[in-house]
Amino acid sequence: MPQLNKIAILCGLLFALPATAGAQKLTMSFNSLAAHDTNRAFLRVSNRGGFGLALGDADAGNFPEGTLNRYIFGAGLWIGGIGDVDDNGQPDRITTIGYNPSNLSDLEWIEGAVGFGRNDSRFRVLDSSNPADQADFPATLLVAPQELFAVYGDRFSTFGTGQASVPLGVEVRQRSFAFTEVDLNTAVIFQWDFLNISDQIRDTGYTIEDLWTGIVLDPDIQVSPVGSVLDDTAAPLTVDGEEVLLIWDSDFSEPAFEGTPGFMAVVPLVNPGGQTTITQMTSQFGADVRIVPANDADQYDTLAGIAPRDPTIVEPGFDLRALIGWGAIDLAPGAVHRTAAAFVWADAAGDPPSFLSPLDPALDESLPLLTDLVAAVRSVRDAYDQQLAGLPALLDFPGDPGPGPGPGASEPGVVLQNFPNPFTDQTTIQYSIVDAAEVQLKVFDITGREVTTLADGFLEPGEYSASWDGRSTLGVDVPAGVYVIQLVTPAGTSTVRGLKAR
Amino acid sequence: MILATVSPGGQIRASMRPAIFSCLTALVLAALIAPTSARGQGNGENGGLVGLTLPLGARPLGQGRAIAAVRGELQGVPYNPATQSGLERGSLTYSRFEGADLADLNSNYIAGAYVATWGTIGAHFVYHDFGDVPLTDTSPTPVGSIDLNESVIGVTYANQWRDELDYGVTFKWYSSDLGVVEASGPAFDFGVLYAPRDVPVHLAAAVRNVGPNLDLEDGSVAVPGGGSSGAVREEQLPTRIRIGVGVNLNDLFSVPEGYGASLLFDVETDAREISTASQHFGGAVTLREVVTVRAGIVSIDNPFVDEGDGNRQIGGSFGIGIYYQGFEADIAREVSVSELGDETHFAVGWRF
Repeated sequence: MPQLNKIAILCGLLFALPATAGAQKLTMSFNSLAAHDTNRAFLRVSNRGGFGLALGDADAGNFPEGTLNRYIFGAGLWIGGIGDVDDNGQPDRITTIGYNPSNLSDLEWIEGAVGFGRNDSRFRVLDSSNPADQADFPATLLVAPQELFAVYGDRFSTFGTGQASVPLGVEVRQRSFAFTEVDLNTAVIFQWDFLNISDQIRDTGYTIEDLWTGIVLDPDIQVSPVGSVLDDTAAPLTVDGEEVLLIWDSDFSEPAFEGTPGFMAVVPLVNPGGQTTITQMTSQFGADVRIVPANDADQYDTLAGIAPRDPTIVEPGFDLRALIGWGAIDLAPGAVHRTAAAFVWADAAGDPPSFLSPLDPALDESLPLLTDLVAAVRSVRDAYDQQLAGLPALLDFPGDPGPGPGPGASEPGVVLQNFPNPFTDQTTIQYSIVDAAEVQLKVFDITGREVTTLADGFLEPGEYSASWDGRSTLGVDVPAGVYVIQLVTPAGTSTVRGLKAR
Repeated sequence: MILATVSPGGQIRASMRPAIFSCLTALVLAALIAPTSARGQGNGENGGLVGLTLPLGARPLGQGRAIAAVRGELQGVPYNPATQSGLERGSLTYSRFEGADLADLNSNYIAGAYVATWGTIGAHFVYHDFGDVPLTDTSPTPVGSIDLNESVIGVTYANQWRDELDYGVTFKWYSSDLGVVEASGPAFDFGVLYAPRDVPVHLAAAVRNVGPNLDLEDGSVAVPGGGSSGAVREEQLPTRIRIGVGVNLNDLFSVPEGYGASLLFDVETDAREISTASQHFGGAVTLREVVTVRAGIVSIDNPFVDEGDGNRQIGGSFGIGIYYQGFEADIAREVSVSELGDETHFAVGWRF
């Protein structure tokens, strides 16, 4: 099947090229960052706001695809707003994070959606190149042979988070595109429609005030095998009067420097609020820039550029986390807010200096070194304005399942992928119960023999966690191998497979 | 004790045969029954290296995995190499096992045999695919996945001694890649099948997976947070003992030409824990030498739980096979044997 999918996509590309001929052809690259592996349980992009996070595949997180080293270790959305979420008359600053570069378990989308796979009804992903999804994609609305749609939200945001958090009440409809044109072949465009669903997760909804959305990313530009990720740095760059986030490896003098040095940019394309913030962060304590904030209020202040904040641009020497935010708007219950941005990569035009500081006064759009990057930024802006800006909101898309919890929310329970996996002494299994029910959480070996029972009883709706020490009911350490972890409720089952190491 | 006297011509004296056979039958039946009444506490160790113990073959599966006492059955080789003896023609077979959906397991078994004057030589290859398993670190979010598999390649020689005793031996090489652990090594299977011409009952015994301990080495996937010591570890082969009885009903009842029926009963147990036995009862009816209908009952021991605590999984199986002008096709389904769901097996073959 994987091969058939690729053949189908290739055929689609061949037929689509003539139809989209023009100044800015839009064709999709199935093997670009915007592609996702439909035959695996995880997506390379557009999963609950995270993209490029696929450490098991050495090439999966690269941007552009095919490069030797990871350029984006991980990236994802942050959404922050002000609302009286606890209904005490006092406004709260709440931030929903789709990717936390300091703590990957601290995510607030539907946890485990990736593990459930693209067909999990709680986390809907549609792929226009997938025959099973094509009925949901009227050809008249498609602009490329392959487009990806993902729907995710924070209605269950307390699940699996490492902090006390409540849902802000946002659902995201994400549409992504990639280009293969000469000028755009290293660009990926994302378009997001944010829907205020606060009225769906509580008795009465509220207007989310000063809503900021943005992308946080962990770039690891290791052009050299011996290169250091600590040399990544970032700076705002103004192109034609509008800021973009510029990221690069500042130390071009590394020994055995291989490949072509270059620059990455995150380019805002749609920003009704009109404000942009750019912040450098790190996960390393002791650095002289701010640590990735760990609570809702600090995260919001960082995203919105509110004091207190550290200098945004400093010399490199730490593992960079870059944040670019857009705001601010007010979003009433049921209302939709659209933003869009692009990731762009361009090689350096000419030989770079041994070191390029983010504080270099020559660092502006006229710098010859940035000629190709600036051209790429302009191209992607033009492409969006000319061919993508008029696309209907995903909420109006015929195949869109529409707002709301979806059919999966009525499922009685879901078990998430155990972690760590593989494991030796202990692994954790998180599971959620939507409807109160008698529940059993059991472990079976690959031949269907029961190994042990981790939970057995009546559970109220909520999120639960269990651990398995790799032992049978008899207390014996079971052999290395594949084991099936199954959540059983009267209405059905949910399973994951764990790998026990000796 | 003298069990038999052999005539100068090499044949067991006819007058002694009923006594010998009665003794053997009694011994086998005692062995078949005894394990069910004396199960001890499982040690959980015999659940490993499953690639050497997973069931194979649509025909065995269709009749409750009772196959040890069937002569001339290429799909019986993984259970008893002596079943390869008695093949009248060279044979090829391919059988695929689709595990329960939730287990995401499938197995492929391909075997061939050539009949010569000096015996029957065969070879088989088994490939178990355990599918992709997501890898995680500090959260449920997968950071990759790994495809896991095990394989066995084997060569079998089988022949008949004095027209009544079939024997067979298999040498096989087992390879396992479970990502975190890799292992490979040799193993032997031995089997005999006693099928006197004038007695409708066949007796069989086999010992499988005999050999040195397997060296387990760290695989290509590291365990998050450590756990890969780098040291070579050993694991005992899952040695199994199987005893079987087959009754050819054609010899007991008047059956029309072209029809046949048989009943089979196997017991298999872990050699290191005799009490953990599994029972297999099956039957097959052949119509006009073309269609064979099979059914069986399986009672499998679960070494992971204690006696009386759901330690036995009892299920049924059924299957049907068609044989026409050398070509054969079989399909079988096991129901309620695995707690993860029903399992399907199908096979095609050619006798040339």
